[in-house]
Amino acid sequence: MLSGKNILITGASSGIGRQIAIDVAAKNGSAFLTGRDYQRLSEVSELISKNMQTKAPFFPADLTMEEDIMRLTESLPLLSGVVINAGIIDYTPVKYLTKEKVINVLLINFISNVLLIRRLLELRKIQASASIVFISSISARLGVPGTSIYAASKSALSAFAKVLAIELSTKRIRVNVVSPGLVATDLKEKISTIKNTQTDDSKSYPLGLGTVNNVSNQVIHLLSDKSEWMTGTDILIDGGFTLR
Amino acid sequence: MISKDLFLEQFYVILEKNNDKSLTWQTVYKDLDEWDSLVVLSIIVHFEQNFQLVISPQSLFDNDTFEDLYNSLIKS
Repeated sequence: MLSGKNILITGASSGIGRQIAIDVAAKNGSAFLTGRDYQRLSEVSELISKNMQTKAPFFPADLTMEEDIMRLTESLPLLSGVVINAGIIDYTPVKYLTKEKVINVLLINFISNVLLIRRLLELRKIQASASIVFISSISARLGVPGTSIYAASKSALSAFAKVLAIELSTKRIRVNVVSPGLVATDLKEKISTIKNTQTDDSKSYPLGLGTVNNVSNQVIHLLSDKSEWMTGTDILIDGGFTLR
Repeated sequence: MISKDLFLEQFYVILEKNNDKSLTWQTVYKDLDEWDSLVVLSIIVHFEQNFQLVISPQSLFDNDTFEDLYNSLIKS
């Protein structure tokens, strides 16, 4: 399904990004992994090499540092896919926000991702007919207490992706967004613990909480040529959460 | 560790109970009208930002009164 495609995955050391990296390799694509944690990245790379007899080169990088973006982008081959997954979750009530916290969340979730794409385009590392996928969040469409800056950062990413889609359409480079609901990952565990003061999250989802595989399956489809007529979309995968 | 009196005072700030002095050590905080997920977040962030005191969501669930909560924090 992804044979012959070089695909960069950011935030590949854990959670959704890790699963996407594994699935890209399983679908015969070449996964290029980046993330901040050297140890965990190397484990994902090793797992792929061992189980799928294919290499998954990894590039530890802090994408908030421009020099890391430079180093990473110069090391990469021509890409037919990019998955922008790196980000952090922040749960802070508005009255407790600090300037530092706002800047940090926007820097990690939005600004660094924008600058990475900009640099990849500048170096012409994204080939014609490639597919770029941004991982956003259902939070960008809801009003969940405590998520103001996280939701704003994801909304910004979704808006950016829409404009990028039209700008890159002449090269037939497709740009889409996947917005998952609550997915069982380590980060989400912490959120669930907080939210469980009110409700059991799984009961809010008619199809139950999502898994990283649910999200990854959608991303793989968007990376493949099977979605060649899709661009500028923002796909909600929420197990029916927003039906209620 | 924050003193016991200062600890209780913080809940008036968090809950914005300006002219209300109804909170006691035996108050079951989960029964307060204001109690919701935003208050839980506010408690966690308030103590972390102002007192470098980490209160886990679990400890808020495991305890009932302010006294229980304070004592559990001292022990941990």
